[in-house]
Amino acid sequence: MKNDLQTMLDHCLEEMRRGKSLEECLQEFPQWASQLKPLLRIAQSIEHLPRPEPSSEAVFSGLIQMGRASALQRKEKAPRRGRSVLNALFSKPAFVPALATAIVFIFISFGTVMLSAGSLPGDLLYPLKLITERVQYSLTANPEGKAELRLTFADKRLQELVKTINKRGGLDRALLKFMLKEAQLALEDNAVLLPKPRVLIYLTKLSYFNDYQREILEQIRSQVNPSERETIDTAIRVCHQRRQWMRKMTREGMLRPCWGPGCYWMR
Amino acid sequence: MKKESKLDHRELTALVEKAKQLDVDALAALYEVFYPKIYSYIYYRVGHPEDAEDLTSDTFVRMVESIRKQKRAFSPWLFRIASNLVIDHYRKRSVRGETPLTEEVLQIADSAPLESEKDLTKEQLQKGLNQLGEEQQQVIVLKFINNLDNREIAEILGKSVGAVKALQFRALSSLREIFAEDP
Repeated sequence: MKNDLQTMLDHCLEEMRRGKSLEECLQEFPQWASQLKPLLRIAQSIEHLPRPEPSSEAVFSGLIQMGRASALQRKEKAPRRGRSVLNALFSKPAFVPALATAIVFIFISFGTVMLSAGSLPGDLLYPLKLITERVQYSLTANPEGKAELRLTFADKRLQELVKTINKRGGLDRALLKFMLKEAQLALEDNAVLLPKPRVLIYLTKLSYFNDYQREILEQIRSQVNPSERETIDTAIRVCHQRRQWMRKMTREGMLRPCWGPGCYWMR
Repeated sequence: MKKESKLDHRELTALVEKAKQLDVDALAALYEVFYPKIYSYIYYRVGHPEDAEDLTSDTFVRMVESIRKQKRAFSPWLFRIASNLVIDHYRKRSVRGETPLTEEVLQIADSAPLESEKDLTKEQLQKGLNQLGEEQQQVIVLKFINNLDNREIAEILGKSVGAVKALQFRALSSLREIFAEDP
């Protein structure tokens, strides 16, 4: 009997994981429903608990510690040539422990993530900034927080693009693409996850951001080489197209634009 | 209750293979994917955010130190490292004669009684978990917090899938009694 209950409980848990409701699962075993229901409810409530969030300092210093450990391991193995900025940071065994210690010290002393927050593509700490952002995003459980973060990231990419042009003169095409991608994800991935009353507020914010992004791109256009202007024009067109879609969605009460594969309408 | 996974099996295998060569990009990608999972697991095992942060970092350092010898499934292997670190953590605390931190959590939980399963809080779950045996605790956290399947849990605990099902049943039944006693 007990074994049967164990099996039924496990079966229901698996079915619920596949998307069935608790009530649907209990209908399969009506004579055991009273025993299974409280157990399934407890399981469900544990699964619905918000996930604990570590501090970004801990995420960052953990990454530094791991990089340091990998450098020591590499030293034991054989020297290898770095391929990326992260490799450059951690691949030279002789100076890495000192560098990592220094970085940890600097970060602990001056507020951890602040140092990388100002980094730009091509800077030593830029990949760490992106990883910290991604971890922060995956650790944020609620859809509104995720949506706000996505907007923040899109804005950061825009600021980085402007800074890069002012500092280095040329247009960073990869960064421009990255910026457009963040804004696209903010619309396509995040808007649809929000509870209905919040979607319009979010779309309005996103719409303002989109206009701001387009305005900045128009300003940048005059600063870049003539050969790069075509790329900027394409980006401006993307912003314009996105604006049109958002306006239509807001006006018609449709919350999901259909401009890519797998999209659907939601009223 | 759907299982979330950022990497499919093939992508994960490819990343792990690169990580075995100590490729920093692959290690960073594994860190990004697994940090939240390992942190949640350790958080519910030790009940203290700062200890959980330290032990999570230690888990990834251990991962780097032993990844070249890693065989079989990666995820259960990594959770096993985390589990061993939690056991060491408690061992050290008991040697030093320190009060288990879980008692602090119990005090917080006492002031916030459980009204229904829907109102369950992290502290109340922590309180319930503290009253379970170690293996039952592990099954609850791995299955319902980390969303692992029975096969993965069995591998972490070194038990059969049938034994995991039995532990799961007993753990949920115990939690039901605990929550009923302290409504």
